[in-house]
Amino acid sequence: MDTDGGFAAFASAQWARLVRAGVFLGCNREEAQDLAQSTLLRCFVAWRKVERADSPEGYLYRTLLNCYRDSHRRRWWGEQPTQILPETAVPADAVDQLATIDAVHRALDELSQANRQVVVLRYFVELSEHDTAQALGIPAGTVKSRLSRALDQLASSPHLAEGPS
Amino acid sequence: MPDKSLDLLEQLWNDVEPGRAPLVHLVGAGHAVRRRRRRALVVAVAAGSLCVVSAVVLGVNLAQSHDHALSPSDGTGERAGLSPDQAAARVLGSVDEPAVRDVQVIGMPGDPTPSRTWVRTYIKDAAGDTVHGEWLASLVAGAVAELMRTNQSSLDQVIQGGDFVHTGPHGTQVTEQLGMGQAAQEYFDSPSDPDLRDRVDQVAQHFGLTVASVRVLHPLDSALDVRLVVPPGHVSWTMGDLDRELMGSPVDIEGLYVELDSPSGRVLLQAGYQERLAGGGWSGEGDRFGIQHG
Repeated sequence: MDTDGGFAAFASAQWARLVRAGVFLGCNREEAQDLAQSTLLRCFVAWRKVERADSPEGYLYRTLLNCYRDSHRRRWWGEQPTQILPETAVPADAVDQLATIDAVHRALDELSQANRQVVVLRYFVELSEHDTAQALGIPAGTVKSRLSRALDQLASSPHLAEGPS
Repeated sequence: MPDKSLDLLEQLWNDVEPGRAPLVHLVGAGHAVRRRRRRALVVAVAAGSLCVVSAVVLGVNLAQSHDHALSPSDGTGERAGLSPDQAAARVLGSVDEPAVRDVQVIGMPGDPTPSRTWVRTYIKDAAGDTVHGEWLASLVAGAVAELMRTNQSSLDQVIQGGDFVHTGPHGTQVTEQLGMGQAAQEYFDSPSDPDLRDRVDQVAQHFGLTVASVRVLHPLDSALDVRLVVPPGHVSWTMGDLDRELMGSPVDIEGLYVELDSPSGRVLLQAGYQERLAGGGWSGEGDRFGIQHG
């Protein structure tokens, strides 16, 4: 398969999980879509490396985390001027999405970033222990211990005990 | 963990609507990036084929252009960190900004544990301009922590936080806290000062702005302090567009301050970005090589 075809198949297969992983890491949906695009763009440019990687998924999610860090490390002070106020009507399904994403964030915001990343990659994206370790650059044993701690913490989370509001 | 909790999270996972992958856009953008990289490579190869004398001159120029960098690490993450006083003095000297009056590494306020350290930056005449003052103090705190680091994996293992002291509106001293995150050691490999000034000129021209002033600060690598004048009329770009071009792609400066002024000199907007602090969420363990920018 040529590069474009191989990449297109890979990107199509990964897109939904990338966006959801972005949301579970702390983005809103639009940010998560941007994050998925940035991640896939970097993978396209380095497509040979992706194909030859011991674990293409590990490479993909390591790239995702790098892009996530790049986008969230900056802080912003001040205001963004605009001539057109963004006060348009919000469709009902967008409201549902906001509620869903808010529930995700409330449930996961109590975790440390390190534990949150392990939960997202290992549990929700369903990467193997080995691929999760590669993506995070940590030993497999640390993946296990972090996952265990994170799941224990989530189990005692009042947000999850109550369910989404 | 109760099944109920897992079920709920899995339901939320499935409820996130991902939309469709923009494949055509991605492939097109990917090819454009590759073309740009190939052009850069061709230029590099052509330059490399010039005579030895040119190479020596180039080497000297490169060395001169980076002599402001303090080479905080050998790139392996293993290093001997400076003492707090050494780090503070070095950053105070290198940042080359008169508004930064003093930098001190002190015990964390209100915490008796001696190992918990705090970076306090004294800013001169910041009354009414806390955005710029906070930006400067953030640059300083990040640079001090980076110099103090030994083999820790993130800055918040080196310093627990920071603040800056400035003169408030009534002449009293005001202390304001800085945010502090988990960002790891970072290397920016900033371009030379003339190249950064050229970049500001080009970006200003692209956005139809006039450059009022440009300063290149060197907390460790480089940071840009830019004031631009916005002409009257419709503005069709966002600050995100502007800052992306000024920061470089990939980011190759450790901080950016942008002030947009009206033609009459009124300040319209101030924005500060810095890369070393804030909540990067970098797990750190096993990542001994830090983040390579530039």
